[in-house]
Amino acid sequence: MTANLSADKMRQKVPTSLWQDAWRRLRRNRPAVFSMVLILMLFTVAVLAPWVAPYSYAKQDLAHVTENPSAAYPLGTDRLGRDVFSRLVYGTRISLSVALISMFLMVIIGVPLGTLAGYFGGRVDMILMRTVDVLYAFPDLLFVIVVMAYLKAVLGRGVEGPLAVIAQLYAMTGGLLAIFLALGLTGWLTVARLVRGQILSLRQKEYIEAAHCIGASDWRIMWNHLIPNSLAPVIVAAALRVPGAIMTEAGLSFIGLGVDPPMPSWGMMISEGQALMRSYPHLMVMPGLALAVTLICFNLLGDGLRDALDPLMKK
Amino acid sequence: MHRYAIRRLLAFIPILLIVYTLTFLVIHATPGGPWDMETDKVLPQAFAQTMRAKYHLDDPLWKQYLDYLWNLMHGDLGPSYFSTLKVSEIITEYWPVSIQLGVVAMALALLVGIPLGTIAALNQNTWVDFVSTLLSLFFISTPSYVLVTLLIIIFSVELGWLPSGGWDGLLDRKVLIPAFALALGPAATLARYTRASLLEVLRMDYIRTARAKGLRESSVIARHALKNAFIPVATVAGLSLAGVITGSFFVETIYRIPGIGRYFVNSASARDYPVVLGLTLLFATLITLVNLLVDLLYGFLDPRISYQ
Repeated sequence: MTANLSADKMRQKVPTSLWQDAWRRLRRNRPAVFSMVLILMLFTVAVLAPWVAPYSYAKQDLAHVTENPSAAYPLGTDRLGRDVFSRLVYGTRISLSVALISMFLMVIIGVPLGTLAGYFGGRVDMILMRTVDVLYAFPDLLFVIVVMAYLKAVLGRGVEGPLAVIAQLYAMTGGLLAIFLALGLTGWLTVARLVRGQILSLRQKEYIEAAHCIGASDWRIMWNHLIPNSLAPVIVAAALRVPGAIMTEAGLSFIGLGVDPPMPSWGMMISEGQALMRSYPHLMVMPGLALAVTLICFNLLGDGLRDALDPLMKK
Repeated sequence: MHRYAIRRLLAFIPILLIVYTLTFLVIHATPGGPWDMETDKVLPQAFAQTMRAKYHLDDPLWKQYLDYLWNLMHGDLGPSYFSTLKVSEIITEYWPVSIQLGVVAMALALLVGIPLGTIAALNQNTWVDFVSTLLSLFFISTPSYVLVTLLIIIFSVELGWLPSGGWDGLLDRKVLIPAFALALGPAATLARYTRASLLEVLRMDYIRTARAKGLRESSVIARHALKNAFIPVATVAGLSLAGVITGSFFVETIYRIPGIGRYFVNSASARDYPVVLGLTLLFATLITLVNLLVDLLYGFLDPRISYQ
């Protein structure tokens, strides 16, 4: 009887795609949903920053310097009399754009390279994988520091010719562009490795052989069959690297190699507050808390995505 | 195994050569030299010229590239432009401090992380598991420079138990705050991986067999489960060790520890080429070595993995 029942159920079950299944599993994961809501709220705050923040991030009120929280300044003011709350609000723009764009760059560089290496194998594969090996030997943070020093010097001094657009973008983003590039250049390694592994195992599957037999081109096989089928672990890996990217940006800004002042990066606020932590601990604790909460959310969402897209991993 | 290790060690040479070449190219492509800073302190042109001549910065690039390489092979890492010490002296002077701090932190991370992950896995889905997961999540998400400041505020400013900075060697209580600040992040990562890996191993058939033949639970866990669960944990531990040693400069700066980390940040912006090159090569060697050790450790933990 139970066998009948389950057979009935199976017949009734509407076929669902991997993505629908994943979405269903993700929705059941309460911490992940909670984080997703919080991250969406942060995005809203970032987009609407000028309306959410009571003051501009650079406005100084020299009559109220390093004040504790009050009605006028809900989280107090910093050493230069700037509203900490407003600066935190604008800071979400930096952390979230780092999250989005570094993830985008990782995928856009890593997926094609990994696919080509895995599909064609041979010399292409060897060159790519040796490159990845060498870049893995680079101390992550130090490599980013050297690249940042380069980008800041090249882009910061105004360039002529085709690079002028990039230099202008750099100036407009207050130095953020260099961080995106540095993180993108170092972040694609993991993605490329992962995609290559996926493609290597998928290449042996019958449906790829079938596609070959009916005369599909290499391009078509890669684009229509291999990439969509290898995407799930890539999304997971990229999502799990997002907190690292946000933390690196904060760290770079902390040591003064990140965004240019007065852009209010949380990392820079932490470093400014750190100098005054004995007398005004809130100056460091507030941005530190904002950073920690954001990172916790991205970590939980990443874990949720992993559990949702990779059901075999979970018990 | 020996042949494998030797082959991997030989691979260090091309890897380090490429690391050197890339770093050399990037730092020399970076506009601005060590003596043409755009500050209001205008150095006499003659001084800058003398310095450039002294350090052969007017030579063609390929010559500078080969000269450094030649000296490197003879164990000479060159002078620092802005310090009276040579690069090799900077390393022998400050590197041991960073290494000691890193090793203490890593030992702490292992001592805290692995038991925490084990306890969480053995009590899966209870409040113990929940608290441990929550703590891990918090420590993974808090950068070391925030942690060290929080620890200073709590333990030296408020409670007055520990000094708020300085370094007096490995066995002084001053090591506690920086070591914990560096260790908690990796400890949390290790706890998470240990938990996940142990949960997976505990479902294996050989664990059921071990239990079925009447072994005590403690020996099932310690002898059969943990050893196998450590394989993925070893990778994470290796990565953490490299991260702890290279990433220590935040903590070193805040806690006023005379380690090597701050040299790197300063030298990159000051265009102190030999220091940047020397330290990049040093860290690259360290990371490659740690990766090799991790791979060799696999073979030890899992005899099924063999190296030809």
